[in-house]
Amino acid sequence: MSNKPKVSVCLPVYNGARYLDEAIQSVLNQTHENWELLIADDVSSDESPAIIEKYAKQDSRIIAWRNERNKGVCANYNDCVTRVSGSLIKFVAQDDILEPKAIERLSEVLLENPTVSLVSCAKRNVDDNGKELEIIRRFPQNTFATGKEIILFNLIQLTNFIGEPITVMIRATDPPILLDPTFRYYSDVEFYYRVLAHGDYYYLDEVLCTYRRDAGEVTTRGLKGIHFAPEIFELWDRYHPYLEEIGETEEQFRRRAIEKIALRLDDLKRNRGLRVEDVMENRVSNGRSPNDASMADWEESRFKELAFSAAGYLTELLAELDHLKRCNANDPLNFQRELNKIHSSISWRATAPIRAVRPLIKKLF
Amino acid sequence: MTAAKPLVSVLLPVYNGQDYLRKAIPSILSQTYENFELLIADDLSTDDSFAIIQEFAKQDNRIKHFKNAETLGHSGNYNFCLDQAKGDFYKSFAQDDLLEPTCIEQMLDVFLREPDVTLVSCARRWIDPNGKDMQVVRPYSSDMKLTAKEVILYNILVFSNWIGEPSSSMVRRVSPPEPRFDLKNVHFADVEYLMQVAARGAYYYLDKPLCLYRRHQAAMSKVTLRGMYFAPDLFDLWRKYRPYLEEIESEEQFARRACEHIAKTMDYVVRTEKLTLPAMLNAKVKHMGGLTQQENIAAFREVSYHMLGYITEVLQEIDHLKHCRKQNLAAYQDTINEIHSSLSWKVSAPLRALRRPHKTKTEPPRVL
Repeated sequence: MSNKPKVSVCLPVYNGARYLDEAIQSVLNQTHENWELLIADDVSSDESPAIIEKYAKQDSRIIAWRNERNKGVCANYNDCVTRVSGSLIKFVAQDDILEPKAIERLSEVLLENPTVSLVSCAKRNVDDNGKELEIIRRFPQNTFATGKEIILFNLIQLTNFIGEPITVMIRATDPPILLDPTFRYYSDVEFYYRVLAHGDYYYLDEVLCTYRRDAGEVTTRGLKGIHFAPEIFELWDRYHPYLEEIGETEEQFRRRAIEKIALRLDDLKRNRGLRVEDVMENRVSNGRSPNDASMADWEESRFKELAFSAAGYLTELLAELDHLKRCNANDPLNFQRELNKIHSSISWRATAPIRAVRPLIKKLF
Repeated sequence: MTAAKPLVSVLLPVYNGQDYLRKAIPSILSQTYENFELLIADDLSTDDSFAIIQEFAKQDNRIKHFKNAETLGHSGNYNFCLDQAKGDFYKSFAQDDLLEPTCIEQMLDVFLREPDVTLVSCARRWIDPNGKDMQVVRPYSSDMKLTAKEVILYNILVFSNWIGEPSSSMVRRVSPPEPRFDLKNVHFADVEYLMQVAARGAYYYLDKPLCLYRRHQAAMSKVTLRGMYFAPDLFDLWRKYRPYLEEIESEEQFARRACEHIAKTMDYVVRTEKLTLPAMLNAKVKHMGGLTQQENIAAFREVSYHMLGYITEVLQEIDHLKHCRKQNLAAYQDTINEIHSSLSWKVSAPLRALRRPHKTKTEPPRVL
C-alpha cells in the first residue's frame, strides 16, 4: 500500500452547497487511500463553507481554505493546482461525483504507462436529481494515443473530446501547468493541450465518474456569450503548427471555424433560445475583473476579427450561391442543346424508320 | 431680429484644421446673409488652429469661439456647438470646406418658403486638397421635396449618405428634444443626425452647388470603413428607424441586407486597398466619442451574430442547390444514356465511325 502514489484531488468551490456533500463524500470513499483533498472556497455565499469545515474536521487529508475575495473559477482552479503535494492530480467539480475506484484505476494507468501524461475515463451524465441520462464513452475501448494525435483530433473537431475535468487525471509537474484565463469555453481542453504537448494520452473505457450535465452553467454562459467563437481563432494562433503539419492552411481553418461557429450558433438559437441580446451581453467574468484592459483589448480585436472573417466568408459563399443559381438555370439549356444535337444528327435521322416501326411491331406482337 | 431675418447659427467644430481654416472662416464671414453667429469650438488641436480662430474672432464679433476642456471627438464637438447655438436655424459646417457666398441666403429662403421643412441640403462641388475642382455631386437631378419617411428610407435602403455632409446641410431648430449626434455611431453619425432632423418635418434638396467639399485623397477609404466601424451602425439604424423600415421589410430581411452590405463593402476595401486582418484591427478611430470599449465589443458581437446567422442560411441554400443540381444532372445523363443504349443509336454506330475516321473510339459524350 505504501508504494501507491499520493494523489492530490483539487476541488474548487463556489456556491456549491447543493451537491457538495456528495462530491466530498465520493472522495472519502475512494479505494485508493493515499490522497489529499484541496478545497478552495471562492467566497461562497451559501452553506458551502460550513459543509467544507465539517469534512475538514473529520479527515486530516482535507486541506481547505477560503479566498479573501472572489477570484473566479479559473484562478481558483489554479490556486489548487499550485498547492498540490502529490505526484498525481485529480480534478473534481463541486457538482460531480467520483466512483469509489476512480482514483485507483486512473492512477494505475499513469503508473503502468510512464509516457502518458493525461488519462481520462468514461462518465455517466445525470440530471439535477441524479437520474441517469446517458453514458458518455469517448472511444469504444481502452485507447492509447500520442499527445499529438489527440490534440489534432480535438483541433479538427474544435470540441472537447477528452472530457470534463472530473474525467481526467494528470501528473503533477514543476512548475504546474495552469488554466489560461483567456479561455472560457475551451479553457479545460486548451489546458489539456499543454499537458499533452510533452506526453501521451490514454482513454480508460470505464465509467468512473458522474457528471451533472445541466449544472455546468459556465458552459452554457460561455456558449451564450458566444465567447467560444473568438477562442477558436486564439486556438489557431497558438496551435496552428499541429494543423499545418496535416496540410491545413490558415484560410481553410478560418472557413472551417466560421462554419463551425455559424452552425453552433444556429443550434443555440433553435434549441436554447439564444437571442442577440444574450450575445451582446458579456456574461462570464471567469475570474478577471471586467475592467481588465488587456482582456478587453483581446475581446475587441477578436470579435472584430470574427466579424471580418465572417464578412470575407460570406462574400465567398454569396459568389458560390450566385454561381450555383446560374448553373441551375443553364443546365436545362445545355441539356436541351445536347439533345438537339443528337436529334439533328445524321445517325438519329437515318434511324428514324426503326423508331417508327418499333411501336408498330410492339403493337402487332 | 425680425421674422424675416432670423438668426442663423453656423457650427464649426475644429480639430487640427490649420491648413484650411484661413479659407473656411472667410467663406462664412463673406456670406450675403449677414444675421448669423459663427460658433467655433476647438477640440484641443495640437496645431495652430486656435491661434487662427482667435485672430478671426478679433475681426468679427459674430464669431464666438471656444476651446474644449477635454477632447470631445467629432460628434461630441458638434453637440457642443449645438448646445451653444441660439439661432432659429443651424448651418453645420466643417473646417476643410467652403461655402458659396449665397449659400445661407438660398437655403434660408427654402426654409421660409416651406414651413414644414426641417432639413435642407444642396448639391456640392468636390475639390481636391489644393482647391482644384473635381466634380459636382448632385444626389437628385432637380429641386426636390421629400417626406421624412421617403428620405429616411432612401438613405437606409442604400446604406449610404444621400443627404450630404454637414457643410451641405442646414437645419431648422425644432422643439425639444432637439436632434443631436449619437456618440455611439462612429461611421453614420452625420447622416443619422440629419435623419433625426428630417424625421421632425420634411426634407428639401436644393439642386445648386452651394458648398465646396474637400476630398482628401490620402485616406482613400475612411478609417471607419477600414476598421469596420460602419458595420455595427447599420444594426443601430434598424433599432432607431424600425417603424419606417417595418413598412417595407422584416427584421430578418433587414439583417440579411445589412450583412450583404457589410460583406460587399469589406470585399471592396480588401480588394482595392489590400486590406489585411492586422491592418483592419489597427485602423482605430481615435476619438470614439461616447462609445466605450465594452459597447464596441458588444456591437461587434452583434455584427457577428447576424453575419453568422446569414452564413448558416446561405450554407443551407448552397447545400440545397448542390443537391438539386446533382439530381437534375443525373436525370439528364440518364436520358442521354438511354439514347445511347437505344437500338437506333447502336445501329447507326458504323455511320458515326465513318464520319469520324480519326477517332479510334467513340465515347458517348457527357452532358456537361
